[in-house]
Amino acid sequence: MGASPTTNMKFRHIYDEYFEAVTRYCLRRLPVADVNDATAEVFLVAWKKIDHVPSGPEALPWLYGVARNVVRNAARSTRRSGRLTGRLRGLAPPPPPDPSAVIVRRREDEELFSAMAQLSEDDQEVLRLRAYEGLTAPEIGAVLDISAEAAKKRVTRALTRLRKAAMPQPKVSPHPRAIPEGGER
Amino acid sequence: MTDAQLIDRLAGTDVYMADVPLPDEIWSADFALQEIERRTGMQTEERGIQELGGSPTEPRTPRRRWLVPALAAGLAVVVAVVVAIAVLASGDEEVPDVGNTTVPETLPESAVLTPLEVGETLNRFTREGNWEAARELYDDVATFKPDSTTPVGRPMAELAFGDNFNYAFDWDGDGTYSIFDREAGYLMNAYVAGVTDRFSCTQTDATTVVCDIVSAGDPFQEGIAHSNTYTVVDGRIAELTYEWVDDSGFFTRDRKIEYQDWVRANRGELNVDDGLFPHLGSLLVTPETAEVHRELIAEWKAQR
Repeated sequence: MGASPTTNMKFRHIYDEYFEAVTRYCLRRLPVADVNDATAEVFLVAWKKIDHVPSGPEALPWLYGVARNVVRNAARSTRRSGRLTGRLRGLAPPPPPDPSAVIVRRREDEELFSAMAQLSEDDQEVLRLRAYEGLTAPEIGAVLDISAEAAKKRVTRALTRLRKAAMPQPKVSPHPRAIPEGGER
Repeated sequence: MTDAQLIDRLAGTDVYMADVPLPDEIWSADFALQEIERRTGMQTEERGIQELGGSPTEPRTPRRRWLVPALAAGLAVVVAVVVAIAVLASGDEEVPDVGNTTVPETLPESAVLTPLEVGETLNRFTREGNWEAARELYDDVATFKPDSTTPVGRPMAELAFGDNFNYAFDWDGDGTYSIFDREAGYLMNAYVAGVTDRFSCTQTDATTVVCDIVSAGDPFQEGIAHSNTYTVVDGRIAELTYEWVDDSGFFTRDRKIEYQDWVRANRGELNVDDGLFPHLGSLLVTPETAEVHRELIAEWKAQR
């Protein structure tokens, strides 16, 4: 990796332009205490691979792709150390970060958030990328390293599942019984 | 509700949407940049990259990224270096024991660690449990020469690498068990034991530092006489010779069993036979267990 003035300028431009976006990405997915290190790690990777970072607006999805890996590693590490520390202190492991605790302000938001939590991690991630980071399907594809078409399908499917999870379930008798043809008399 | 409306609703639940101020704990962009620069040694301003001991445009290898903070943190002994260089330049064969002198706040950017500084820096990294930073002090092709001349040294030489399953851990994750992994294991074992000074180092010539392992504050190793002799080339350890001076306290296993028994008696909720103690009298020290052992050992020491 070279460190020419051009390289430095490219890095500084990317950093100045996208530092806050990457920080917010990490904040949405990690405990606040882990965010500084995660954000720094993302830009360390960007510095080391500066020649591979796309120019222009495509740089942000690239950074999100790195951030996704950094966040996953950080989350794994937090879970592992939490289990050990929990055992050490005779306490249950700390629960995973629950953004709903601060996000939920309205009942309908709460329902939506509960529905999100029922989805797979992959579904949640594409929805976050779409709704929180505001990415288009091609940009989501760049983050997840899949085609734009595949990303679009994933978003659509995740929305369908979210909608289904958010709908109130009809009450069903725990003991269904056969109804004679022609209806119950 | 259409897909677009659902996405809008979802976006409305984002507590970190763009117009919401970031939490106070989050670094500013400037501060974060300084931290990134500190970690990599890069400088993204017009002044360009200043490589430690290299040319200004020479790329930094990933493993050397901790060397700058190591220097900046100040275990270097500039005065001692000047004295040593002056003595060497004057043709004297003997290099005086430079000992401990005032730690300077900064070093010249082109400075390379002297052997004594390497020893003292290792001592500090051990105290801090900073095995990642210690990695930067070892040359990638460093060699290990276990003592094979003394009665107690011979079995150690035979065991050589992987000499104790306590330490057989691939710390740097490169898929091999190397001299550094062995050293990182000892470093972290001393750290979790709460060592206050692991080494007492003396530079004996321009490339050699002998570090007697004193293990102050380490209940498992204190009182055991042995030493490491490091050959330092260009500020990095090229060779380590390990010498057992005598066999007093060789069997530290008894102390570890005492600690293990204490954990079992006082921290029964811990899965002591798997996670922390894979075998009787053996501590499993890894990045994941280190802090747990350190807390437990501190408590055990206080109650001994």
